[in-house]
Amino acid sequence: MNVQAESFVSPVADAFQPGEPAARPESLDDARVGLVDCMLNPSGNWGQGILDGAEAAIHDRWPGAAFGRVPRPQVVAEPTETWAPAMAKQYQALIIAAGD
Amino acid sequence: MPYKERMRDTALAEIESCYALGWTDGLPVVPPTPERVEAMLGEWAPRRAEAIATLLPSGGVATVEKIAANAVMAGCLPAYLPVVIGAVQAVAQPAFGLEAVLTTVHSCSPMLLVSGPVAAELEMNAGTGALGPGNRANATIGRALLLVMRNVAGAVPGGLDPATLGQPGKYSFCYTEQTADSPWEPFQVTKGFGAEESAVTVYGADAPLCIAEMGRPDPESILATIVESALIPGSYNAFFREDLFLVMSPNHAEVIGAAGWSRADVQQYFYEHARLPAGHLRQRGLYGFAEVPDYANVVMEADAETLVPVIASPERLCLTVAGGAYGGYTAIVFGMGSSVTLPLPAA
Repeated sequence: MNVQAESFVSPVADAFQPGEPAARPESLDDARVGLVDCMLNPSGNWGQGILDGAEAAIHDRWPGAAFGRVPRPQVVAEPTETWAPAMAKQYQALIIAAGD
Repeated sequence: MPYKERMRDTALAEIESCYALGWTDGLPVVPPTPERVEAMLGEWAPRRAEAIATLLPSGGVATVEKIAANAVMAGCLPAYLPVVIGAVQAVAQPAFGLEAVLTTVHSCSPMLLVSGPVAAELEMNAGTGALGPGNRANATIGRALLLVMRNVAGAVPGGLDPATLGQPGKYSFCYTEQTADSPWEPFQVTKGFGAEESAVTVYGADAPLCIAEMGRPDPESILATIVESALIPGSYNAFFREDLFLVMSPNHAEVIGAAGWSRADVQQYFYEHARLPAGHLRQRGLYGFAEVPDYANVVMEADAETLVPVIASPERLCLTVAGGAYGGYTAIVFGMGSSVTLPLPAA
């Protein structure tokens, strides 16, 4: 005997608060791109490997892009509210590698 | 088919459907039919669509109705709903760090402490077996909160919950204080609330470690045993040095309180004595793996022999009293991050 899901009030969230999307530039040529290592274990260099791949892919598509590596500790990091505006002054795009 | 048998088949089919829908924690749930959810909502019904919180990591919106549906599944009575809603509000506070608690490979999970008159009103068990099974309110309120974590926050094991081992407290971990037998003011008072105010406290807790000290009924011996048992270099507390809960049995609390020790005295003692040598810490646990937070630099920079406290300040020790009258035990609840205490919401 099957009971249809419609027989119940779903306990699963059916709404997700979307984040405000950042402006997407048409091109990253001449842009400065921040490559952020936010892995819990930065000494493992897994984050750097991910960012190497991202840098290569962007460079292939927009050879004029410049890159900067940014360390960001996952634990007790500077609050996003102050960190993000500071990054925005230096970079036109950020790519963040994060993992546990 | 006889009526009773047909009804039983229907009930089992509903439960099986909840499994198939991926809504359960592995135990059977009470299927959240519209009638049951309506009964759970009670006077909260006019606010059913209200967003109580947005829960990371999924960003799911915890409406009153979603919380009520999870409370039904957990087996809660309608009277428990405000406590579950309050707990959801508490875990959503930035200071709690819900996304870290739910998405770490560590085994911590939201623990809930219910304080104030509401605990007695709901007939929660603060006595024998206070951290164990047997009481509907304790068991189902804690379970409801963790079902919300699964179904709304997205903390599904193997999915957004990647805990390597997990722990039994990921089913339910909810308790209340034995205030009648405590020599100290109720826990919520230490957080700025009145003794007659009800409050909920959440904490990213590991499984409790129950330790015994029954041969030496004096404060120093009891506290020394607790302190030495808390010196575990592989605990997250030894690295983050944040909140650590003690659930002290009335026996231990009575001996310590009768000797004139205040809660602050116990906190200070623990802070001064629960210390590990910096050189030892640097060779253990999370040191060498994770980025060291600024406040742990003391461990990295100190001489090897320097003794470093496992809590960054005395008030990081969250001292509570619960359990049966007999037996000298204290449960040490290691964990991650800061606890958060909020008042109970009203409909």
